[in-house]
Amino acid sequence: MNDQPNKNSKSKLKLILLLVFIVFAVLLLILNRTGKKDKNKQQPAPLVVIPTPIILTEGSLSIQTISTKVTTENTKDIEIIASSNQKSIVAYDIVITHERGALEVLSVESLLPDFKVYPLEKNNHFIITGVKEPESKSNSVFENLPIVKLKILPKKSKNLTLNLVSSLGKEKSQMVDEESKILRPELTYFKLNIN
Amino acid sequence: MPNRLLINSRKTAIIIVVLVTLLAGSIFLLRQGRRSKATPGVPTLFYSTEPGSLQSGQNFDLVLKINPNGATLYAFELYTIYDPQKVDFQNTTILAQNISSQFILINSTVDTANNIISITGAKTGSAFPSSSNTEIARVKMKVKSGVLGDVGFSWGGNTKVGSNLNKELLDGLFTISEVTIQPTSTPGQPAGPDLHLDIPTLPRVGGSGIAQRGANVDVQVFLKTNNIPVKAVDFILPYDDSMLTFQNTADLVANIELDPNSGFNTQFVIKKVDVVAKKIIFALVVPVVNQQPVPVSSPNDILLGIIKFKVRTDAPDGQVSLLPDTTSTIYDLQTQNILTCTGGIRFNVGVLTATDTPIPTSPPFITDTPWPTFPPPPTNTPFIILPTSVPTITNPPVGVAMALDFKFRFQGILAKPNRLNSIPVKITVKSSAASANTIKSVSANVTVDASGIWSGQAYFPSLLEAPDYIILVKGPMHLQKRICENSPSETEPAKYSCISGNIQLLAGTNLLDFNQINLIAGDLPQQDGVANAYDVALTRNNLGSTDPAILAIADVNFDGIVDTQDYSLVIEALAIRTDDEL
Repeated sequence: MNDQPNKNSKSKLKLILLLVFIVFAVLLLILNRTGKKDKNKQQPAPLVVIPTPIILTEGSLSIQTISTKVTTENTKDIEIIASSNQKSIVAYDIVITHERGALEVLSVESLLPDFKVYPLEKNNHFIITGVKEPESKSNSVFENLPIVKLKILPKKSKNLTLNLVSSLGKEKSQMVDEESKILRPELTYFKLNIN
Repeated sequence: MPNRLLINSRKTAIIIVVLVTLLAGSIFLLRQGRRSKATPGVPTLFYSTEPGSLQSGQNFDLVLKINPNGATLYAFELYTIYDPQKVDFQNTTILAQNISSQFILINSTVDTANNIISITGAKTGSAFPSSSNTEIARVKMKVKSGVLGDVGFSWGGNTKVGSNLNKELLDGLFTISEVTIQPTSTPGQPAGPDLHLDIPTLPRVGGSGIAQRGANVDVQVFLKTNNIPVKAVDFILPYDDSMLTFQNTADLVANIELDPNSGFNTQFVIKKVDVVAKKIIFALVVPVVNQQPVPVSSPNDILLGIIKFKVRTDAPDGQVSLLPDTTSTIYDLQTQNILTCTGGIRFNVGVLTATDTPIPTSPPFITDTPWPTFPPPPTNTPFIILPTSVPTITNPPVGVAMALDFKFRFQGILAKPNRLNSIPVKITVKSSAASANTIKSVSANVTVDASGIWSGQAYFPSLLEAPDYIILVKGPMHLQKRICENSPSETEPAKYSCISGNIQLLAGTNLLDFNQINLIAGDLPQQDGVANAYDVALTRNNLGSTDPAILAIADVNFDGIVDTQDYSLVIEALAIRTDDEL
């Protein structure tokens, strides 16, 4: 007689146990699915980041005259000398200012065989952009190297000052290397005695 | 027998306790899995609103923020799902113009079909501050009138940051309350101390205050002490910067004119215009005599000062609500805050029509029409100069909404490119006839057709009609081009140029066909307004690249590869060199 109630309570206990385990299993399943859903939200796709140019204060640009003699046409030949602190350069901008009307630039010539120059003359300044040919694979490290020759015609019979400037409006004197790093070089001015 | 029973009941109890513990543990773990935590190295994206509390029918900014939690990231691609039943956009004509950011945005669009706001861009220079909450972008929205309850914003599933970093997305749920604007209290009425506003010069039409765009709005700030001695006041007034600006934009604090006769100390005053939080703040204390404060107390309203607002010339039609913040304070002599309520004022922005009868009659606006000139009087003969005629007083011209439907070509693109079919361009307009200061710029998305013609629409909510507009167009990799005719043409690329504007812009939609000229490529990101050695080097150093990051800065013709075509286009730009300017 006493065994009957015990058997009943055991059965009930087993039922409760089973129910609880089922609920536990369901909860674990839900938890697991929530975790997988979070992972699935992360779709692999690269994002575009526009890099900020790296600017280095390195290198130098200067002007020197090739000869002190005045030519028969009264023109002067001057050179731009560059140093790039061991960096191989693929392009450069040179901004030179002068007194308005003080000179005329007759020609601009690249002294480097694999660089092309693109001059642009304005009223009181001119800009020379030099670009290395895409197919050239040579190393272009400048070490006190003449890179550009200019033939100028002084228009005034007094001293002419040419200033290499770091910036003029949006224009900047700079060199750019193979890794697209920008070099802002040390600059000098140049005084030319006409007489 | 009883022992067996006891043992059995103990076993049962233990088993039940274990099972309950297991259940509780599962529920706890489940909640842990879903609870948001700031995990180191896992950025968190979340929302906030400005103002912090939303009100039915009120404009607000939805602010999208990030905390990198130590992660390093620059780029973001955000998708926000909104509820169109509860919120709308402040600019309902060009939805993208509701989106603004301090960072470069590559894409900012609203998909009304799926109710998704898309914002893609990047921070340049340094990465996002590693452990600070930083605003990425904000969207100008408004709560629809009559809407109460909660409004939610959730992150779309494709939201990404950095190079697809793991991130935590916290959706936003904000409560909307009804606008409670207390009427101005009447002297003698039993009520506690309060701060309230009035605009006595506001024209009223049909019982509602109305202010025109560009009109000055002088808001008077009153203190009611209810005969309780007051020793200090902190006044905070939020304002909607999409509707209101200030009369003195050079010195914002000067727009807070405090009344020297209010009884408060005029020397020890704090005045502030917080343009970030969009709040006017001033703090006053009473003078001290013999180390004792001389309190301010009156049965009548005390004028504390005037805030000199001005309705923005590009404000959309709508309602402006000004209500002092309830965090304002009125301190009694025991430094207890005795502020019981704040009273605000509401008015509409619009245009007074000819049939409207403003009450009271507003003083007419005076134009720049000069007085007639008179010959100088003979010397040594004093007499009084009187005008012979009264000058005509007219209202100043009012800006109108304009849409510019334009088409143009990019140099080097003759068909639909492989990589990009939609890009942003910057459109700037200027007219000398309308006003010397009418220079406005917007960003507009343009899409390309099969023949390589890009078309889009630029929306200006308020421009003056004039026949001499100049339009500047600048593409994402291009030099800016100045255009002076509706249908310009050129015989060779980059040969078109002009000086004087001849484009007539009128209210509504203006069709501008620029597809007979080319926008010159060459000013690559990050754009500096000039095509120079750096731009050439970018293409030369990346020849052959198909890396998306490189394409974004050097694929000038959008064909999916950086090649000699891109290089040549930039070389050609060296001859043009700089942006056309106004």
